[in-house]
Amino acid sequence: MFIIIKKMDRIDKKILNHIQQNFPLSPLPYEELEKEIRIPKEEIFKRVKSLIEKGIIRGIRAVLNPKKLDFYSTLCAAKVPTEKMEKFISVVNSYDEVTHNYERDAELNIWFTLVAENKKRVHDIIHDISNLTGINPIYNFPAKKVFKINVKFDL
Amino acid sequence: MIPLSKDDRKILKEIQKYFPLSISPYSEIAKNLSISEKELLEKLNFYLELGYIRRVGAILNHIKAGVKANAMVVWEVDEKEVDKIGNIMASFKEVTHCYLRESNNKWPFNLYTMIHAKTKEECKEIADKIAKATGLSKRKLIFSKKELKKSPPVLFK
Repeated sequence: MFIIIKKMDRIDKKILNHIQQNFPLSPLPYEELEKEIRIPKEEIFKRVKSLIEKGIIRGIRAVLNPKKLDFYSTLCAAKVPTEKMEKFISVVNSYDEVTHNYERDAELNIWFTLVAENKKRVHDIIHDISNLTGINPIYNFPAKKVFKINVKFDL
Repeated sequence: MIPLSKDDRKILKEIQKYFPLSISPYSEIAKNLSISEKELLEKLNFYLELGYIRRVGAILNHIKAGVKANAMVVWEVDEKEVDKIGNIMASFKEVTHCYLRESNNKWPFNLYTMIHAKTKEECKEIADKIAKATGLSKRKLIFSKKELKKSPPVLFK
């Protein structure tokens, strides 16, 4: 038997579509939101709280632009055999500078992103990971040009 | 870039973390920073204007929100055509990221698009549409199997 749990309704989606891009910069942001999307502020707050509890929203925060702030970021990839996988993941994830790490369905099966204060720090981290795990090469694919970053999901 | 003051670094460090769940989150953040709420909100507006902050908003767990499939599609594109093609790719709403990246002789793919959709099949269809719109044939769809880490960057330690 299948139990279908409806995680989100129309109102949740309306709230999410809005606050992904613009959480108001105002002393009482939910009051602002009430004006913008015409849902009572208590209702919005209650739903945001519940969406966070359900894990649908990770949280609300400012998303910085590392490049504008002179930070250096890159995408790395490696071919990691099964027997070295656990160690590799734990070493990679231990760095604060690693923001995303995915196992992917390809020959290069691990892909992670690094954001650090400068290029040297990025290269040092890649070097350290290689030394600690025996995985070599770790490919480094820094961006040369950004055409789009728009992490907004139409729900 | 205008050099960041010590105060700016302190503020940026704080606001990249998840806000407290409160009806007045900025007053709590300002209290932690020992500045006034008004000053914090002015700074936030200023950083947005300068592009130091891309947005202030809810970070979705897209998998839990029903956008379950994500494909990184890598393309091999002639550098001379990259601007034209990158802009076409960026125009697809399912494409959340589009980057030109360094490549090497073992990995000739230089243009990367991240496609998010409800299913893998949908991702494939979108990649086909992009291929048609750009006339590109050399590509690889790389699906994610498992999210191993996703955390906000820790800038300004």
